[in-house]
Amino acid sequence: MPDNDSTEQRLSDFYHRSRVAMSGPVPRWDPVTGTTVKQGWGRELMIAGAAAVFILAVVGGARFLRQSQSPAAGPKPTPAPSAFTGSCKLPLTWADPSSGHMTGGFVSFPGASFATDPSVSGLNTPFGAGWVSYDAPMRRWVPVDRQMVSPDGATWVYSALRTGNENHAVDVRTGRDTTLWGSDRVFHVFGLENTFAYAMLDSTGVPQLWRLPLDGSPATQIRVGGNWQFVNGGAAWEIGSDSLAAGAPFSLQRLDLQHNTVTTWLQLPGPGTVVGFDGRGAPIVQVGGPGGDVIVVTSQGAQRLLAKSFYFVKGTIGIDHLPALGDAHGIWLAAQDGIYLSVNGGVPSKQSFPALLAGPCS
Amino acid sequence: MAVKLARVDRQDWFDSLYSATYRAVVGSVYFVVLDRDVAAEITHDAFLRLWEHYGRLPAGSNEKAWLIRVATNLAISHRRSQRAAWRRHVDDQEPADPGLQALNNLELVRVRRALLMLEPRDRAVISLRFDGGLGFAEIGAIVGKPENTVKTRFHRSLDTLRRQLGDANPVDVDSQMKDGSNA
Repeated sequence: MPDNDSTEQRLSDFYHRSRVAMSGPVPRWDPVTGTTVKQGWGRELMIAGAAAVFILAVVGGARFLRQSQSPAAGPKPTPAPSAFTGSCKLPLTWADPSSGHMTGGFVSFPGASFATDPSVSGLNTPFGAGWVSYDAPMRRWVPVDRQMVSPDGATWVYSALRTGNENHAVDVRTGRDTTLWGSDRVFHVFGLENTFAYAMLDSTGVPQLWRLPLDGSPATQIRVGGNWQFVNGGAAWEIGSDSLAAGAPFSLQRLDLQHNTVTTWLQLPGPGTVVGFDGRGAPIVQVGGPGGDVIVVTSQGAQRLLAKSFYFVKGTIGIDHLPALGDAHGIWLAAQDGIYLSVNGGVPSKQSFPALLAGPCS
Repeated sequence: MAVKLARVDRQDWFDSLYSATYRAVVGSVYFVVLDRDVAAEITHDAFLRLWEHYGRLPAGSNEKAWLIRVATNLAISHRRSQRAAWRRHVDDQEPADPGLQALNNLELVRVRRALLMLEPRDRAVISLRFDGGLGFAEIGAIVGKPENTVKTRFHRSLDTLRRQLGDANPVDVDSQMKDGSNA
């Protein structure tokens, strides 16, 4: 692999930063007319649209992500009948069709009554609007995806692409904004523990996993290699393959963040995507992409089928937002036609209108 | 019931591949042609070929690898079309976007200029190595050249880039801006 020669570093940085700038919405494909069309644009720009994906896609342009990858339709006033008899309030979020901004509210169980929460509207990070999620421990909404909220709810992290990719930690109680170490580099933060953020750094040509203290003190490199995607329960997780060759195996990998040891958690028959974690921290995986089976990897080498041929809500696969969420009541799944709940490992049943999961039912 | 009876037809097959691989494919193409309009156009053509190959790919094929191979080779042999030029004209009239500002970082412009000094096939080799993290044998399979040839081209291209990029500090963007070296 390339060494740390300056030219090679600069090339790697070029590719990585270009990839970051390309990480926006995928233009819609129309196989009949043979065109790709950006979502939410007028006809004139549709004609010109496919070409502009690079410019539209940017870390700071999370509003585009929000507009095109979130559910297009707002909630229906009459939620679907729910047989769930537990008592809790499930926070949901969706894109307001009129403004494109994320908004949200709660479905209250039992009964599945719904109410919007006006405090969600207008939530922004200092770098712009993006996802919103409900910080259950602090009982408030925050302007980032729930993967960017620490488990204790005390801190959330946002990114601002400037010379590097500045990562900022915001104290939920005080609002204090702390710039994390390494703002001149292109760290991609993908998950949090209570005192650390975890980030990938690819600018040397070889991906590296780093631990960034939320107090802004110097970060430490944990290991080289891997494509770690999510943090949960003291571990980082990824699904990958060592090769692009036909038939190459895929596997779910677990990195113990305390002992820095990697374990092959499950061999997969093909490509898969981590879509969430159950209430015990076990990863939930969709095998084979949209429409594939959904499994819970209950322990190393062990899996349980959760749903067959499942379609998660559009825009939640392949990006950071996770469309499945486990809590004390079961596993919630954000599907294209509504929110489903699996209780005690049972077949998921529909509970609510289509939306994104903003947090646990509490 | 969440359990649905999926009918995996051509559209489902294509949609899942398209959404899962678009960014990877368009990125691979962009790093060869270094033009976003052309990259989008070539990527579209590659997906059109995928659509046309429904049911014709060998069993067990890795469609993503197939797409990247097809798209990369389309990019290598590409000649800029009038359609892309027209799209550029239209896009130039769009309002400024933060993404454009980010991409306008002068260091990126310098590297892009240096890469443009290479032949398209060599740009593909460099990007597949640095961006894709592929081995020389895998790169050879994509660009249709023996592994040793790929190694030779890689090192020769890297030498060219070193000469083009010189010793400029890659992160000293401010001083470059003061020099007025914006592209």
